[in-house]
Amino acid sequence: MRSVKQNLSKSFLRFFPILFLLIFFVMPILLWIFLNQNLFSIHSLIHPPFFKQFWVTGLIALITAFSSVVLSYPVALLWWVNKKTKWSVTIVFLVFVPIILGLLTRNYAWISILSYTPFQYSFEAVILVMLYIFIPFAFFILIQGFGNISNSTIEAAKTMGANIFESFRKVIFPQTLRHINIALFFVFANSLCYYITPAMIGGGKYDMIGNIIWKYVDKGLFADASNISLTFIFYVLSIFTVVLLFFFMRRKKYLSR
Amino acid sequence: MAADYKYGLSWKIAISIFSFAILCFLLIPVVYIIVWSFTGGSGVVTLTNHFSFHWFIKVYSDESWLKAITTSVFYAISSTSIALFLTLIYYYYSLWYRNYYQLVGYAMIVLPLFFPLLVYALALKMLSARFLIPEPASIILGHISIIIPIQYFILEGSNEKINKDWLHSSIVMGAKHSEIVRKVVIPNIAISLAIAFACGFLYSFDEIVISNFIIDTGNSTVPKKIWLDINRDINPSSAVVYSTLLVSSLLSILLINLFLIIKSTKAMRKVKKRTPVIFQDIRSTIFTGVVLAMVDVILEYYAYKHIAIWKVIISFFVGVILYEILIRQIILIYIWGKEIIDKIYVYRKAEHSKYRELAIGLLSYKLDKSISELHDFFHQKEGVSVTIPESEILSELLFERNRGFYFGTDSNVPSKFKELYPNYLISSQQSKSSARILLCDKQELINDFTNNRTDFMEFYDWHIRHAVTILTVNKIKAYAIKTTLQLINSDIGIWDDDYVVIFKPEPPDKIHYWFKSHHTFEETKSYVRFFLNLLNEAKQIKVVNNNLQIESFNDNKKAEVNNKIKSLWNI
Repeated sequence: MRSVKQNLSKSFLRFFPILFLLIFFVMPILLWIFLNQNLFSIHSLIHPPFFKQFWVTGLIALITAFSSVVLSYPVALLWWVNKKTKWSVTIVFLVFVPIILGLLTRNYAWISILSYTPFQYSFEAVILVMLYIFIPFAFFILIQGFGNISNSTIEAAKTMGANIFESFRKVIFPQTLRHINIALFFVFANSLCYYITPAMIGGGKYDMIGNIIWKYVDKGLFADASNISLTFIFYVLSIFTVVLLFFFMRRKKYLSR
Repeated sequence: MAADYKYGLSWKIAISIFSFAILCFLLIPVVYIIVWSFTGGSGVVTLTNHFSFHWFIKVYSDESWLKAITTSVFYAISSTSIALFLTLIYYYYSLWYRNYYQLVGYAMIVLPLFFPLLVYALALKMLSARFLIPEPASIILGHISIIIPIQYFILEGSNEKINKDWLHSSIVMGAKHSEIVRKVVIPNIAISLAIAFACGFLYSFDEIVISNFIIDTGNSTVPKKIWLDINRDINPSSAVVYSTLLVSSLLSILLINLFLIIKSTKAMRKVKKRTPVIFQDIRSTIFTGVVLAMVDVILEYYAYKHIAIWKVIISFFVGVILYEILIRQIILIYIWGKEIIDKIYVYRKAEHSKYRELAIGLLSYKLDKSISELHDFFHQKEGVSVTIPESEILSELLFERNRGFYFGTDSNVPSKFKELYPNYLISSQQSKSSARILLCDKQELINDFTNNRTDFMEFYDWHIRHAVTILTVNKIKAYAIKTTLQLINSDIGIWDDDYVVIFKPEPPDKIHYWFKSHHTFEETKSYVRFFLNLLNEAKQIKVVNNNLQIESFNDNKKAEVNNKIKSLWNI
């Protein structure tokens, strides 16, 4: 009879997914940084090119991240309240349907819808459509968190005398905090490099850093694109390292519970 | 209470209204796209009053659109399939490996989700140009890297569907990893796998950033083609492609549901065919009905001196229903439980491949369930009686579930053990500092050690290997305690706080009684008390330099075992 340990020690296959991501995700980025290191200078760090776009990018990403989490939270809560009924499936389905219809097509639809309003090609329009794109993602991350909450906890809170708001504040909300953080970070990280919606909906007036990079790539000016990207990635990675460290600490705590 | 309910209700209404507004916000463009694909005009994003399939015909007869769709589908299927394979591997092994494997793996998986995709696309573009990596390969590799995290988080959501006991049991039973993935993991997370595939496909089909950066040749994907058309012409072609995708997705969901319904109906039919639920034993059914009808006749006669025929008929049918719904079901459960035990036993004895699959699935969880069902229905107080071979398997299963604390007594000398329980000493089990008390006299043990050294040592080595301390108590003292506590037997086994088994090893019945735990059962508790009393008197058996030594049991260890049992059984 083979023991579990003996059996497992032979399974080298387990390293394949990690190796794949290491070779085809991490290595290209590291090699790209290595090959373009001469483009990187302290001067561009202190005085980044396209300073205005840096700020616009950060601002749009922050507004999008907070708003999409705030707006999708009640929908996720409704999903949780109706868990195990056909309504929860309907909600998931309705949130998922827009994703099937393609990013560019949805942007087209918004161009048309916004043409009936005074917001066409405005900053508000960019934020609105960015929210439209990211609300489903925030929702799906949040329901992962809600899925772990047992309905009996709220019953228990009720029997202890908590009213509905106290139950929410002290029982439900703390349990979803981890996924709120993940959703915030996910939307923030992904909207930082977003260039489709600002280009289509903003009409070129509210370019984010992604639009500048894309414009250089489109013209074949890879060195310039790399220069901006390197400065951008330096700032982004500095923020991300802190946030990811925070997540790992939380996850470790979460797993050890 | 009513006010509280009202409060909760208004809260629910508020959430519902808000969510409805958000869902409308999400769905308005969807409706617009569908309408646009049927009534769109050319040139600008406008709607006309004419409903037609004009744009559908135009798109599906345009070679460049067909080529773009084929290319997108090819990239989507290739990258999603490879990504799903890799994700499944990581998902499966992360169930086994914690610590560093999971930490490094999780970091690698999370990275693509949060790293700026634009920068990755730029890096991939520059490297594929430098190392002459073909365009399709670059796109597929890029897509796989992004799809793996999405699929992993979908699969992670189905973690609770996999019981880790099944994996451990399967390995112990000799199954390979490929077999476990095929027969245990995939069937249990099939729906999540399908969702992961669908999400990966949709993501890859609609991916624009990597495609935009990498594609230089004419082999555009659908999003790239739409992007290139932005400055030239905005027409409903893209809406047509994505409306078709939406309809095909809905049809796929419908077909999968239909398939699942047909499958479950077939399975139900099979079950019904195997064990017809009603009127299988018509004689017993009628007999129960007649008995109840007669009882009714007697009661009516004594109470009213008059017998109403309709009441008798109703009593008869009540008897029939009672038998069919209650008694028959209990018998079925009993037969089912016995069948499982028999089949697993056959597997263990003969290693028959036919039963391997069954054993993997039924191990531990289902057996436990059947025992508890049997217990609940039949022997509320007496437990379940099983034969010695079955008892051996049950105890082995309990060890394999890694609950691990075993405390037992035995009135046989060590060498007799092999003869009585032939499978026990060759099995490999996981236990945590357990104890076995032999109810034998000192002289009996010395004689056994001298005359049957090989068998004695086999018994001794097995216990050392499995961290089971061997203790002994004088037979007379043990029987005195047994009499004081008014117990029927002195040979017992206690597993955690789950089971107490009373062994009756002497022929002719060769039957053990198993009790399900329930702390409320005084009967089981009294056996636990019996063990605790024995523990106070116990001495430890040791073999040092080929000499048998019986010395006093370490006080600290004694207290440790004592406390453990007391805490488990609330004594």
